[in-house]
Amino acid sequence: MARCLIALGAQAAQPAITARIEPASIALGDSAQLTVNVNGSQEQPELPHVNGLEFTPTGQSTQIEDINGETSASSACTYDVTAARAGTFTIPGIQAGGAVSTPVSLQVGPGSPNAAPGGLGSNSTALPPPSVGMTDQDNSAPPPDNASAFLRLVAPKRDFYVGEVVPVEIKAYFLQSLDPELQNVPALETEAFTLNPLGDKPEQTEETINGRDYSVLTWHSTIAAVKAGSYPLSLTMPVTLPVPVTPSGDSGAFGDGFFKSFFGSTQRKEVELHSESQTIKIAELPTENRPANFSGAIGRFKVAASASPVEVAVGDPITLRLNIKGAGNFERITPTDLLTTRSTEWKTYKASATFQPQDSVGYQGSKTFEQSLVPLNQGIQKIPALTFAYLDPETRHYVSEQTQPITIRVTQAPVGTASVIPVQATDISPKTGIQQDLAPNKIAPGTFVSTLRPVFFNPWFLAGQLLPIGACAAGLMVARRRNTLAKDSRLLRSLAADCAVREEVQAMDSAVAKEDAAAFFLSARGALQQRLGERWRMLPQAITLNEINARLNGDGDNIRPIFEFADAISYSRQSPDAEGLREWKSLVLNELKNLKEQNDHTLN
Amino acid sequence: MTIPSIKHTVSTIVALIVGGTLCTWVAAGSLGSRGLSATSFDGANRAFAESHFNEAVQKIDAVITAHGYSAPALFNLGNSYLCAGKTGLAILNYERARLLAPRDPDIAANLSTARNAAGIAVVGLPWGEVFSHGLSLNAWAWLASFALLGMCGALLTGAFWQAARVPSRFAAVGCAVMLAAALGSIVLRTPQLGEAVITTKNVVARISPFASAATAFPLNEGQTVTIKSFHAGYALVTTADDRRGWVATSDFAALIPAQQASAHIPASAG
Repeated sequence: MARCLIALGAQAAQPAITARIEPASIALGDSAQLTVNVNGSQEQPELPHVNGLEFTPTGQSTQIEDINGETSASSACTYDVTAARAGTFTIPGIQAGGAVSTPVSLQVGPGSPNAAPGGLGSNSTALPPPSVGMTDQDNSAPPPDNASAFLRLVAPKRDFYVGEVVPVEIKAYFLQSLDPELQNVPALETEAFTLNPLGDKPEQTEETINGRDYSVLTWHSTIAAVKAGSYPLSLTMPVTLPVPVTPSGDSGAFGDGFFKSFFGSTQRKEVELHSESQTIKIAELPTENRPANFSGAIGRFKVAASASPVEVAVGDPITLRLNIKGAGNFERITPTDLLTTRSTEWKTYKASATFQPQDSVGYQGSKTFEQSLVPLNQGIQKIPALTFAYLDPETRHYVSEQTQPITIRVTQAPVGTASVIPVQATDISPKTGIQQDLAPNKIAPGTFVSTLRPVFFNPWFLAGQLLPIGACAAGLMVARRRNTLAKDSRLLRSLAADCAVREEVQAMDSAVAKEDAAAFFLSARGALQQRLGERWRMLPQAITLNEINARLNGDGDNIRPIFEFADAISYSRQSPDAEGLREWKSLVLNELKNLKEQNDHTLN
Repeated sequence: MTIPSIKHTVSTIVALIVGGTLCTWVAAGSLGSRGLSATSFDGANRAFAESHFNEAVQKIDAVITAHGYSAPALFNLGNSYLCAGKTGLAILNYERARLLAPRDPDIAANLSTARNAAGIAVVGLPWGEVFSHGLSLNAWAWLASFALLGMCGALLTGAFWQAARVPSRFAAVGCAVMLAAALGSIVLRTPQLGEAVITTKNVVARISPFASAATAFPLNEGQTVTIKSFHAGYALVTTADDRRGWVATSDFAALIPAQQASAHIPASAG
C-alpha cells in the first residue's frame, strides 16, 4: 500500500500533457483547432513537423496556483491547423516538460464540408452519386477465379492529370451465403493517389454473376492523382469471412463427403480483399497556352457573375458574386480576390466562397464567391469582366471563361460623407500575417474629443446639474407657499391688507410733501379702512364713521378724528399746515401699527 | 399672490432650467469636440494598407495630437500597432477606442485578436457590467443629465399644474429610474478609469518600488492592471486575480492619459 502511495506521489509530480483536435474531420481549405494542455510545467509544447499540415498559434494562457504553499503551473496553447492537401494526417505525440501526449488524427476531405464525400456528409444520402461511365459489361464481368468475395474499382478513365479529381465506384461482392464482417473501408494501395474518405454505410444491392447471387456493397467517391508517372491503382479491404475447417481425421465415424459437409465446421478468419490493379498514366499539366490566372482547376465549368445593388452612392458597398458551376476539382478553385487588378476606382474586401454539391461526393456542383466592393469615384459605369481559367481534361486544352461586364450606376455620396470616403484603393494590396485576421481600418475619422476623461469631470457639466436642482427646489417652495395661501384666507387677507396699507402710506408721504391735506386724509382713512377691514372681515370701503362708532364703542379715540377730518375736509376750507400734517401722519402710523399688532395677535 | 404672477414665476423657473442646462451642454460640448481632418487620416490609412505600419502610427498620432481622440482614430492606431508587433500598445488603443465606442463590434473583435496574440485570456463580464458597457461613460453622463432635467421639470409641472399632477408623477418616477440606471452604470464603470495596460515586454511586478527589489510576479505585455498609488517612478498595481506589486511607470500606460491628445506615448497615470 505504501509502495502504491509513493508511486502515486511520484506520478503526480510528473508533468502531464494532453492534445485535442476539433473537429477531427475537416474539408480542405477549412481549419481545425489543436489545443495542447500542459499541467505541472511551464514549458512550451514542441509541435512536431507534419508534412502537409501547418500550425498557426492563436492563443496561450498560463495559470500558476499556490495551494497550501505548493505551487503548480498549467498552460494551454491553441493552434489553427490547416492542410495543404486532402487525406488523413496523424500528429505524433507532442512533448513538453518531459511528457508526451498521445497522437491525434485529422481527416481532411476535399472542398467544403457540404461536399464531404462517401456518405460522410449528413446530406450525402440525399444527393445522387456521380456518373462514372460504367457499362453493363463492367458490371457483369466474371469474378476472379469464381471467388466467393472480391473487390472491384470502377474508374471512368486511365489517363489522369496531376491534381485532377475523378469519380470512382468501389464495389465489394460477397456470395449471399456468406456472412461477411467488414473490418475497415477500402483503402488505396499506392501513394500516387488520394482517395476521399469513404462512409461506413455503403449502398447494399444484389447482383447475379455467372448464376451466383452476390450481395454488393457500393461506395461512391473520388480519387485524385498527386504525382506524374504510371502507377498501379488498386484497393484493399480487410474483412472477416467464415472459412470452412476440415475436421481432423478424415476417417471419421461416417467417412463420407455428405457428412463432412453437413457436420463440417467453419471458422471466421480475417482476410484482405484486393481489387484488380489498373495502370494509370498521370500527366503533368500542360504548360502550353496556360493562362496566367490558372489556379489548378481541372474539369468542365461554366461561370456567371452578378452584382447587387447596381445603383449606389460613392462609398456604398456592392456585393459581387461569381458562380462557377460544373464538374471537377472544386477544392482547387480558391477564394482569390475577384478584382485582381490594382484599381484606384474600387476598394475591395476579401472574397468568401460557398460550395453547393450536386452529387454525393462533391464532384459536381457550383461554387459561389462573394466579394464586397466599394466604388470610390462617382461616374463608374461598370464592374470589369471576370475571367476564370481551367483545364478541360477531355479536350486537353485550357479554357478561359469570361463573364460580361456588369453595368452599374454610381452617384455622388450624400453631403457629409463624401469627404471621408476617398481612401485610395490601396487595400487591394495583399495583406499578410495578422493583418488578414483584423477588422479593416475605419474610413471615417469620426468625432474628435480633446480628452478621454469622462464629461462628468468637467466643472461646467457639474455646475450645470446644480441649476435644475436649485430651480426645482425654489419652484417647489413657491408652490408650497401658494398652496398654503390658498388654504388660509385670513393670511391671504392680511397680506393683501399689508400691500394696500403700504400703498396708502406712500400716498400719505406724498401728500405731506405737497401739503395736500385732502389727499393726506383720504389716504390716511384708506389705510385705516384696510386694517379695520382685515380685522372685521369686511370690505374696507364699507367701513364708515358710523361703523367705527358702533364697533369700537368707547375705543378708537385716535381713529375717529381722522375719519371725521377726512369727511369734513372735502367741504371745509380749513386745513392743517405742513407741521400739522406731520403730526397727523405720526398719529396715523401709530394707530396702523397698533391695529396691525392686534390683528397679528388674533391671527396667531 | 395673483395667478398671473404665479405663471410668471413658473415660466421664469422653467426658462432658467432649460436655458442654463443647454448653455452647460453647449459649453461642455464645445470644450470636448474639435474639427476633423480627413486628408491626414486617409494618409494614415494609405500607409497602413501599404503595410507601412510605423508610418501609419506616426500619421494617426499626428491626427490625434492635432484634433484629439476619436474611436476610429484609436482603432486604426491599434491596428497599426498590432501589425507592427507592438501588442501592448495595440491593446491600449483598442481599450481607449472602446471607451468612446463600447458597442463597436470591430473594436471588440480586434481587441480579442490582440489579446489572443498576447496570450491573454479573455474573461466575460458579469451581466451588470455588460449593461453598463452598453454606452460610453459620456453617454451615461448625458443620459443622467437629461433624466435629472426631466425629473425636475416633471416635479415642477405637477406642483404648479393640478390637471397634470398624475402624469407628471409618472414622468418623474420614469426619469428617476433612468437617472438611477445611469448613475449606477457610472459607478460600476468608474474603476475602469484607474486602469492601465502593460505596454512593454518582459515586465515584472516587484514587491517594493525599487529596481533592486525582488520580483513578485511577471506581467504579460497587453495585460490590464489597476493603479493604486505612485512612488518614485513606480506604481502599485493590482491584477484581475488580485495580485499586488510595484511596476515601473515606463512599463505601462494609463487608459485615461493624464495629458490631452497623446495617444500612443505611455503616459504616467497620475
